[in-house]
Amino acid sequence: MQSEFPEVAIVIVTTIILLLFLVGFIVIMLILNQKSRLTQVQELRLMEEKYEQELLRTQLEIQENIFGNLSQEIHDNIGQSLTFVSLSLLTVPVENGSEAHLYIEESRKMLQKAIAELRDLSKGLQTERIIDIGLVKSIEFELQRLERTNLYKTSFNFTDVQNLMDSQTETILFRTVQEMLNNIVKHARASELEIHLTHENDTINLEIRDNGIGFDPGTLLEKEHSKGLGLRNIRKRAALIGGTCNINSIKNGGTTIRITIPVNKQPFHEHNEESQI
Amino acid sequence: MHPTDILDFIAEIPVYIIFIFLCLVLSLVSLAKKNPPPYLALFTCYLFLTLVIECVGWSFKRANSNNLTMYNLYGVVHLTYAIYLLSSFLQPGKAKQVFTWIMVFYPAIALLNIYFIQGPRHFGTYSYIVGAVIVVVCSINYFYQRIKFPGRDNLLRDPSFWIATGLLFFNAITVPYLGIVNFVANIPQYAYKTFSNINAVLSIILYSLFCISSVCSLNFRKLPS
Repeated sequence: MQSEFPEVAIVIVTTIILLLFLVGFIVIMLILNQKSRLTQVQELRLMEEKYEQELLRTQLEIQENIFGNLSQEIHDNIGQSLTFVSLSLLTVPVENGSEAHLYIEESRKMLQKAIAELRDLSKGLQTERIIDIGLVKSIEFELQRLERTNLYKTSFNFTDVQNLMDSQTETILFRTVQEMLNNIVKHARASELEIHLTHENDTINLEIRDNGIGFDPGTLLEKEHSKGLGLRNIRKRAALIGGTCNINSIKNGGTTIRITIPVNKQPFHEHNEESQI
Repeated sequence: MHPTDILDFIAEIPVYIIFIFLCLVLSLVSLAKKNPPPYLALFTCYLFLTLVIECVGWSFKRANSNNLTMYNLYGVVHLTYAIYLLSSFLQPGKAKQVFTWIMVFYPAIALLNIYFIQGPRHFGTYSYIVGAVIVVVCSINYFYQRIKFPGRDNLLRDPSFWIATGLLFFNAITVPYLGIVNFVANIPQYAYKTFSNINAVLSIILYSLFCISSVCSLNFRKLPS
């Protein structure tokens, strides 16, 4: 029995060493695998973000093209036709003060109003015009359009943001404002709206506030996810120009949407690679 | 036969044979479940063959008969299957192709060594060392791929991980020992016994890992690619 002791001890010690090696190997493999998996997940997320941004940028380019074509079509064809009809109405041989004359005058006034509205719409759709007159004037122009409906009281406060953004960033920001105004008109049932465009340190802040019926942002975002429109688009557009979007809304207490974007220190295509949704 | 004789006989059965049997039972249970892993049918056959060989080898040993020829041939089957199994776990690519070709050529070269170079009366150490080194390289390749392309499934729940760990561990450690087994056969009895016991411990570890892999196979579900 005593002579067998070294043999048993060798086997036990060897077994313990082997098991320690085995456990160590499994633990190291787990750690390496986990690390690699995390890196893979991060890479995948980054690729997805890049793909989404590329997709959105293409969508925006297509949208700008469509807007340009629409604007030209409205100005060159529909606008011209309506002007021609308006002028033709002037040549209708009717006596002044007659009932027919009154109808014709009423129709001409309505036609002139339609022509003016179409012209405004056409201007709002022109990308070149937005670049020419700048973001501030474009927003002012949109608000004037809303004011003319007599349904909204608007105010616009701004600080000088000229030369802080490139033209593409300005266009995207303006399209975002248009989308937000469109949402207010369609859903908010508001009577007053304010826009603040400010520049602080290295950021530009755009805030749109209304006194409408409000909504629950969480619930709405969930719905938007399935439809892929509205607020999600606003967030994506903000992300594309390297910004963030913050939505605050209270039921029957109005809505405030704030977009914060970094001051343009680098070209558009570079800083949108760092953006986050 | 007296009942006490039967009990004595059972008590004499080596522990690693019990582990092989357990492993075979777990494999059969996994195989009976829905959607078993694709390699499991052949793996169960391999375990059955291993169990038969180990039982016959043990009875030969009890009868003091020479079982070298049988173990030489089984070694070829065991290592060829190990290469096949590990290469089936690899991602499609050059490495997989290379190991598939090796799997085709290895048995021919090993048999050539056993019958014409070292002879059937000796343990085919050359072919064993080459086969075991190929298995180790293939396992390392598998682990390298698991780190580089980790996939979505948990490593600890993946049957292939436990099989590859077992094969790497067993072959990497037995290469130096079984590579000199012809020399070891002439060393003092107590040293030979120690080597045999360590070999038995390694077999127990290998089949324990196979058992874990079979348990993992019970919950195996193929992820969409």
